Amino acid sequence: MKRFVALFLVLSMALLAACTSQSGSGGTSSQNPSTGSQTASQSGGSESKDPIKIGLVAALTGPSAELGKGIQMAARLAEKELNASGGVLGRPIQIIIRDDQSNTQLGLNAVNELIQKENVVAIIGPTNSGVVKATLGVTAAAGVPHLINNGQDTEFGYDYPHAFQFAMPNRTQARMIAQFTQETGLNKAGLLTANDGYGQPGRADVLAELEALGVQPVAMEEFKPTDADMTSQLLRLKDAGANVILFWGMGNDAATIRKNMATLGWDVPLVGPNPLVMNNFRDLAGPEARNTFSTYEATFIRRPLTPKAEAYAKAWKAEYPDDTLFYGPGEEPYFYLAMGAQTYDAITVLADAIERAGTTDRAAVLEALTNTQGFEGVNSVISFSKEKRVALPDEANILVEIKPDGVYEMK
Amino acid sequence: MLLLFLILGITWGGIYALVGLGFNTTFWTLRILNFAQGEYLMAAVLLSIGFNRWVNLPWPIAIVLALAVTAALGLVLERVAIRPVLQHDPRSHSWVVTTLGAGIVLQNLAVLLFGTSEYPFPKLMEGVVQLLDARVEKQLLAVFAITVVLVVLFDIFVNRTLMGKAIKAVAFDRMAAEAQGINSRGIVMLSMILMALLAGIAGLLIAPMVSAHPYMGTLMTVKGFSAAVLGGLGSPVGAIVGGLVVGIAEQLVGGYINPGLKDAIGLIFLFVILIARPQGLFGKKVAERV
Repeated sequence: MKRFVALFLVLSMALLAACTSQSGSGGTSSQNPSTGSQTASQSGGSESKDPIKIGLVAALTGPSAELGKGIQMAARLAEKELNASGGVLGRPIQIIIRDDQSNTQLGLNAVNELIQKENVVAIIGPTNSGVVKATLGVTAAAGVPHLINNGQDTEFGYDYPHAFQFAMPNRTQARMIAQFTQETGLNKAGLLTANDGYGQPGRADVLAELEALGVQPVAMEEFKPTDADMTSQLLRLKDAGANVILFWGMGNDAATIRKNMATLGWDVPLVGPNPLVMNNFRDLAGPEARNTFSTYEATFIRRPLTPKAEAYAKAWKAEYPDDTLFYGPGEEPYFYLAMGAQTYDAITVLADAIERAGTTDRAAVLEALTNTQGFEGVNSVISFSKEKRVALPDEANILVEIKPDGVYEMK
Repeated sequence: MLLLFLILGITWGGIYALVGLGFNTTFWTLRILNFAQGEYLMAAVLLSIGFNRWVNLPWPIAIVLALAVTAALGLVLERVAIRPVLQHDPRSHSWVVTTLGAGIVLQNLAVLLFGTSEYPFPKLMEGVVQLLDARVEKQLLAVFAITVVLVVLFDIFVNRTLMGKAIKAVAFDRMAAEAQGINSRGIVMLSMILMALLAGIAGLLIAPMVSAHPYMGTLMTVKGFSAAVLGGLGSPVGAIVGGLVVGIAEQLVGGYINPGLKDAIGLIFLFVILIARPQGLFGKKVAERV
């Protein structure tokens, strides 16, 4: 018995040490000059000039670091612009950014710390869907509005009354992928999906949308992510007579599929969700990055740009003149800007809601957010309701064709 | 369909055979199996990419340089992971752990240098050819042709050259070979270099068809090992036949039964052969088997 007690003590001490060291290292990513009294920010609407704190959790390092950097850049741009125009409720906005390294535990720690210690009005993030799922319970329990800037799971915008989704929901993408079979008349669909936490729900969504259209897939195959060779699956689809492949997975796997199709001398359209438009698919597939279709926000693909999108691109270029990843290397803004714009829209719509609520009280801000109507964001005009809190209306998404040299609106 | 499965199976089988031959070379000279083999395959590919991307060397030079570094890494492996173990106790089997460990070190180094993302690798040739009712990429046939040439060269080297004969002599009886004036240490080094080159070239051949990343080698170790044991450890013909059997079986199982079972079939063969004929298809029964 004694041994167990001792073990428990040691373990709990180790845990404590881990917690403190994490919150310590997390602190490096924020400049936190103000030590505003916590009750002041909660009381709201007072004469206080203390900044209004918003918590942002992003994957600044780790596998999603590139995306995380873009999210951080967009957040700092929104913060700067809001403060330059007088802040919110006459108070400056302060965005406190924490890195979760795409790690669920670190994401949970960060959200807890931001709510408990920093007393933020709302949480934005985290970057990865899995981490978002883990943190939704925490924000719900604390009554903190949760703005999901990047996660695409369909339930995010529907099933959580305190959550608002700014990325394209999977179900919307699945519908567009299924509709591809109708628009092109290629309705002998072969499904090829990853057997992981991304591919399996995606496959279910695509199947449901196909069923709604009365299309029965001719074959269904799965693959393990990073399978080096998918010729077996492809041959089975080909043998079943598929004339289009509906795919759900990541860009690297799609690249393997396109290369394997080239090996087999088989060429039918490959249609899948928006990871396909990322640069890595085209990098890996090279000349085989063709006859491939995906969904994406129309914002920076369609021309001319909306005035809001144009202003955003201009501000981005002025703030980050050296950035060639999101803005792209050329003069014309690259469609990657839409990724950061999701975060930018989340912050500006939140600022608008705080202004309308007239207070930083979380419940009041949540209500104001839910009542948002016709807010002009970069990616779309945003309206929320009690039933649906999805920032991107269906028409904000378009089918795009991917070619070796870029991404184009599908004709 | 069947023809296509056979073409794919023979091509992949040839790759497994190369890795399997690598297992044989170190088995001959040191009586050990190098379980870091797949990581040498990965190292050659990623080093080529590194030399091309970051040192801006043209591909042919980058590839030659990468193979040279991979061969040198083979020598390092012998020095740090194998020699100390055998010196301490020639009958020890600790090399199972030390070579596996060395492989993990190589893999982690690759992750540090290259991250976990994948990299593209250029093809030897573009275009598609029609073979009866099957259409395949020329690249696939090029891989097959190069594999055949390599296997033939390997056979000539081992059976017709003095150095190759020295390897066999050391394999047969190290003490006796040394008594004949054969530099057994040199032969051991040579076998390590051969192992690294066989794995490295196998990697370079498949790199354009798959994607290059730090974890690409692990499965190849397993498949090459299956090929070598199936054919009979120490037998070059065995490694080739074993590789082809595994490669073709994979395609047939993946195509006609379930693609998910593809990677398992090599291991299933391995278990069956170990029970039914432990010396492998072409292996000789040896009294002092370990």
